[in-house]
Amino acid sequence: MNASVALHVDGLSRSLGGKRIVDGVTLTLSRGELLTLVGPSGCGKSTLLRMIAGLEPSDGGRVIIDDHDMSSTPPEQRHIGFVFQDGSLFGHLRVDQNVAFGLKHLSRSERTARVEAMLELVQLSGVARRYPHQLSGGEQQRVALARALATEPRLMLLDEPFASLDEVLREELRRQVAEVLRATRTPSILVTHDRHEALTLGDRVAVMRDGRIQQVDSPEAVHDRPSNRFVAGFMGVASFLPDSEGMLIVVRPHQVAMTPGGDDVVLSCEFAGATRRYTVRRHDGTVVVADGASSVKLATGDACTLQFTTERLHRVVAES
Amino acid sequence: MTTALASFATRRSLPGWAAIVAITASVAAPVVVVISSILDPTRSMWSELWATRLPGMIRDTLTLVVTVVSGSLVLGAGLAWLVTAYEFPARRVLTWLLVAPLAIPGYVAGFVWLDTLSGPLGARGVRSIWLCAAALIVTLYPYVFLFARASFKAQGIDARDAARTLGVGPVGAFFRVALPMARPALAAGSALVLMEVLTDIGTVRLFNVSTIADGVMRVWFGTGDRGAAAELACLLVVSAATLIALERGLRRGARYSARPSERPHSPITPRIGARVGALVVCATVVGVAVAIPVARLAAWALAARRSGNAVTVTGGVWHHLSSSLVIVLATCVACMGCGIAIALLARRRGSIGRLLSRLASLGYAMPGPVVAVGALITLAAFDRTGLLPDGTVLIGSLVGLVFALTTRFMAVAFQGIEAGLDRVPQSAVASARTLGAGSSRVAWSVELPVARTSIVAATALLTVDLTKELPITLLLRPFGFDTLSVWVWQATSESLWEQAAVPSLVMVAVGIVAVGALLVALDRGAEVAS
Repeated sequence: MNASVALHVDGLSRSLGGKRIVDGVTLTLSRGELLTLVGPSGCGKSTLLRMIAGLEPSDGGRVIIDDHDMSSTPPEQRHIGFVFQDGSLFGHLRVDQNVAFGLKHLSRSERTARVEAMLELVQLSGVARRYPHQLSGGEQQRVALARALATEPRLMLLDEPFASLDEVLREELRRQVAEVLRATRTPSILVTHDRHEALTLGDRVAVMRDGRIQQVDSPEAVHDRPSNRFVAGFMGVASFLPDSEGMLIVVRPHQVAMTPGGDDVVLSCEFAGATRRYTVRRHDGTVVVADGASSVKLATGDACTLQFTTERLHRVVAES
Repeated sequence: MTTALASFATRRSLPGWAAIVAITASVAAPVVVVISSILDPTRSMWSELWATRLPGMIRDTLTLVVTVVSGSLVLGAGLAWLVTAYEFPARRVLTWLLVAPLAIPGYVAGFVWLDTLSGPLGARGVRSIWLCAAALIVTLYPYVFLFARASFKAQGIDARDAARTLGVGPVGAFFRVALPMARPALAAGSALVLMEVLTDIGTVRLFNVSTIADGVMRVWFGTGDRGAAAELACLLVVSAATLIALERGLRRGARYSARPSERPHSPITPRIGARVGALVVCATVVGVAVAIPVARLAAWALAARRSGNAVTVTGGVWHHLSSSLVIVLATCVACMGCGIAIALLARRRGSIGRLLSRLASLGYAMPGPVVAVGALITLAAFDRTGLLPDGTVLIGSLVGLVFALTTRFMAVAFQGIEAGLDRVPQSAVASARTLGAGSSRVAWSVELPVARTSIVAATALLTVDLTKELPITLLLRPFGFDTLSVWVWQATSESLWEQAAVPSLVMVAVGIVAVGALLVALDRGAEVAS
């Protein structure tokens, strides 16, 4: 086994009520890497994460952490960190006591030092003696991160940690968490249903659907060179045009230029700030979503001409 | 306060308000009467008591309270953890059976064990404070069990999972997370146990333990001095209030009501050894607390039937059962009616409503004999006013008895109703209002249906409590109005176990039905809430 591998998941499966929730997932995580695991709700991504942590039993497959097969190890012995969506702080303990929870093996002075360092890392030194319910949602999640990092886990698992926060807080916290994870070089998997989050945070992105991994690749690759039609549609707005060989051409809105006048017809137009997003029916009957400059305004029913700006457009297999 | 009163006076629904203030005042009166009696102490009684029995009474009461409350905590919380955290054979049936001891009064379990153990221990050795505590523990732990179980279930598995990913095993997670987080629930359960222990007169008398409550009864029956009994009863109020305040104070700023977890609670399946262990532990408790007492009672009842002297009291089983049911029914109606009225009001009118609800719940902190004494003094005062038609007196009437019981148990009803109403989302009320529903229609078609399961649960708990109730019934019942509990009391005071068996069994049967209803309502309520 390669020494640079932090986690190897091999053929992991789980069925519940006759349905395969996780279906033979194989995945590798390198040291210091941040992998985002993205998919629609109910695709099994949270279950997969909980299986890696040992919180959920598996029907088959192996979980190998740092070259140790941990498939049947209870969660408390896997030495992993886990950040839950919300509400997992211990309400009866102060912030510093929460962070110190997993540090029973340390001496008192070491423990205090570690707690201080962790709270400083997440920029929350000022609230050490408060109780969780006295903190904002974003602060609570930073405490949860500090608590998980304090044990110096081999692996950090984050299950939609920003999902219960509002938009502005989420942006801010996302940046901070990514910084902290990179600073501590903790190999991490972050589960999200938000493609924007997956693309901006991940060193690599794993896209999941119906219990199976569809593609694991760099953010650029899953966006620009999706492995199938589902990934193409899930990771960004796309129009699919059939080509002569029975494949589908994936067209992203920015890969199209629009000029007024011609054989194509504007079906609808939405103002999106810097651009306008048009839905256009081309002369051959296909429908394409395209971004046009904000300064040029075409109305529904106007004639226009579409041109593809990219030399070679990506193609995917047409599936049912 | 002045502004609240001013706004109160301008309300349109003045008659309704007046009625509710009147209810609250009369329900709170007995308690206030008792507390105010301490302002003018009967010095001679205190000096005599202090020189003779009082130190022993205080010692015995404290010993019993500490032992029974801690025993119930260990047993109740431990068993609740077993049945919520682990999957093992017959878990559901055992969960139900573990609540069943609630239906068995301490004085019934007491005389069963007294007789069973008097063989090996001897007639003297068996009458010890420790056996008395044991009898109370096995009948009172279900209060803690019910609260703890609800709390463990509501915690969900996120907290447990978080602890485990931080390197703490399942047992550690219990002691470091689940147990501390359940603390308010454990305190609530313990408070009920505390009240029952302070109140108990039947069990302690069986084991010759002289507690303060026992002293109140003795002063009452010995001297007939209501004032002196009331003053002694104050000691109970003070100890109850002190213990509850102490626990509150120790909680400080921590908040325990974690947001209910999205992920439902699911028990884990441990290794086979642990599964068998859990089964054995639960089954043993059920055996000691339910199976053995019921079996012995049945044996006695059969023996009494065979020997032909089953009933020496007047009226027979049906007479006593119907008396008990009349009391249960009348008090349930009174408690639920007043409770619903006050709870709805408290939701609609902030500060005054809350004040009234606290006042009406005062009796909750009062042991039964105390309430009985207070109610008697209140009723006597009312009888003297001459407001009633000639010749009618409330003392010794059914109305007087139901009044006293309502005072004592109003809080049980009120808290259940309030918990149910808390589940009604403000948005649902607002939607109903915007759809044209008035205040009473909102109550009838939105609030009460949502609170239904809680109301059923509260009624079931009331039924259990009222069937077992002894001191108030004993002191205030109309002449010749004998309930099942009075029958048991009379038979056991003369150590006639065989004759106590039949009414005991009937009481247990009524209680078991109510406990079943309670559990079903609680679990359904938890489903509605999640």
